[in-house]
Amino acid sequence: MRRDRRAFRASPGLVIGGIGLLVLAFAGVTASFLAPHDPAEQRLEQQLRPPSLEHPLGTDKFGRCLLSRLIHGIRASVGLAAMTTVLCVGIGFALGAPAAFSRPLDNVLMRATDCLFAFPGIVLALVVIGILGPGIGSLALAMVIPGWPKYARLIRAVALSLKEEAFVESARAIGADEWTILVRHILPGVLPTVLSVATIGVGGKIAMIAGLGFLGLGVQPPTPEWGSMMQSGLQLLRSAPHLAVFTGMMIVLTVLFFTLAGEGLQDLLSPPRGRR
Amino acid sequence: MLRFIARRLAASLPVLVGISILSFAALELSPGDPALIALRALLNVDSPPDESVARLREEMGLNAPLHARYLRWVARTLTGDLGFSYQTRRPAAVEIMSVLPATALLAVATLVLILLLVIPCGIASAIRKHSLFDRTTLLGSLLAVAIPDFFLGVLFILAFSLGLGWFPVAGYGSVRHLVLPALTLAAGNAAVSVRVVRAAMLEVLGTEYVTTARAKGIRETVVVAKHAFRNALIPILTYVSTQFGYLFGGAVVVESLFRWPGLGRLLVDSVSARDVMVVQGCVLVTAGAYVIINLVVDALYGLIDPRIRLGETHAP
Repeated sequence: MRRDRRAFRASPGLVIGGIGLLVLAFAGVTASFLAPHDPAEQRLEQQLRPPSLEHPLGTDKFGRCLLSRLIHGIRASVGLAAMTTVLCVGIGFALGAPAAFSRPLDNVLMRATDCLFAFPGIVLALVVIGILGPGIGSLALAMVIPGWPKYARLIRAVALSLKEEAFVESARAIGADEWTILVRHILPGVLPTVLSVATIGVGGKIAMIAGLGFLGLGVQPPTPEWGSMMQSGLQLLRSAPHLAVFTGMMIVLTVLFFTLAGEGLQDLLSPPRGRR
Repeated sequence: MLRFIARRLAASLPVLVGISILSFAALELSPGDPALIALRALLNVDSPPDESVARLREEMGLNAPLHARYLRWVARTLTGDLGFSYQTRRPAAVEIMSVLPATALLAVATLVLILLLVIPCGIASAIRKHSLFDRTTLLGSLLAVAIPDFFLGVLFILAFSLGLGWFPVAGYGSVRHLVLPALTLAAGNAAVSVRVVRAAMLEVLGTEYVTTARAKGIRETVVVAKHAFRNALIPILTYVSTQFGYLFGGAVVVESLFRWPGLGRLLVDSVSARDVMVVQGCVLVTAGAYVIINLVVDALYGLIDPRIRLGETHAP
């Protein structure tokens, strides 16, 4: 118990990030109740209002409440980012863990990921969207294709070191088959490292989803999404800077929470050698 | 040295083949009959006659089996023929060549800014570990990582263009146009690179040969600059060069935000218009630039560290 408390004191980031993420998740799930207005309700007589009591963060060019739209935007941004990260980790495990046990598979995996690493992530994402056209399905694929290689490499590396551990050798000695070893021994061993990297990774995906929305190639309006809201805010930067600034701050805070939580988990789950 | 470079070149061959397969696949998977789209653009009609489409399909080799189409595509690409743009009807290669100078200028300016920012800060942070400067640097890097490049760009526009009027909001043509996009890209990259420099320096500063150098009474500046920094250079170069490679074609959002006429913006415009051959050309050039930059950096490793050239250790 005391060790836990000390770990938390050593990592205030984990506490801040964790609480921030809980609040975000709660707000995303209860968006319909929590948001003061309907995010789609247009009131043209109230367009481009600065923050007020009725609209805490002001209104956009259609008179829609910015705060309500930001809250509803959690679903598209955070929801999609979290879901695609889980997919990336799944693919990464399915390809990375067996690669640690099979030379030919390992060669194929390493060369394939080498090729994918030659493209900036957003370029691969754009190619996918260019082929399939904009939409939620193509956006998800556009996140997963550049996203999985990192996890496959990471899981392969961890699995390679776990393979040499005594508990894996003894499992094999008592006759466990490859499948059992992968699921019962490698998977739990890989999880702590992957969990912290993936938490930080969700933040990166949120930024990329927003970037694609900003380019007009992500989640399509009228669904409230932070990137496309940023784009419409940019066009009104002179007359209504609050749109771009508040939307940007929402993205920054969200990414920051994920980064803090992920780095905190890293410190918590793998304490530096001297302290163990 | 030449043998070292040749070996490295051979090692990157599988990646080049993989890149070509991916680019070809992007073209193949794109919807629409290329012959039909081409004829529409060439004849300026919505529904060209079926027999013309069929004849062009045959001429373009679209009826051949997949592997034959791939080989034909590779042969054409190697001669610099990337097809043509459906939008402008100019060759895709011409479109891409015309944006490369702007992208190269932005990439080099960004690289210079990153190095100017990151090397002094990273070294100072490592020497004075846990000092106020170190903590400020780490906190700043955490914040800068969380700020997406387009929002940072918007903040810069608000402050330096609309607020202070120092730089134009967007466009291309003068040094003043270059400052904000380069600064935006550099800040985001520097946020991570500064940690790489700090970590690399901390690792080297903890080695025995640094302690020995200090024990011999060598001045601290010489120890840091000569004994430590030179050995820390390899991981720093690896990271920074990867980021530099990604700036060719990867600066999609920032180029679009500042209306910088580079490769990234051409890519976005072509994807929006589904101008397939230009998309494919951009992708090919982006990945090609990445491979070439990494080859050049590999050669640099050999210069910095003779152990790598002689094959005693492997480059990372």
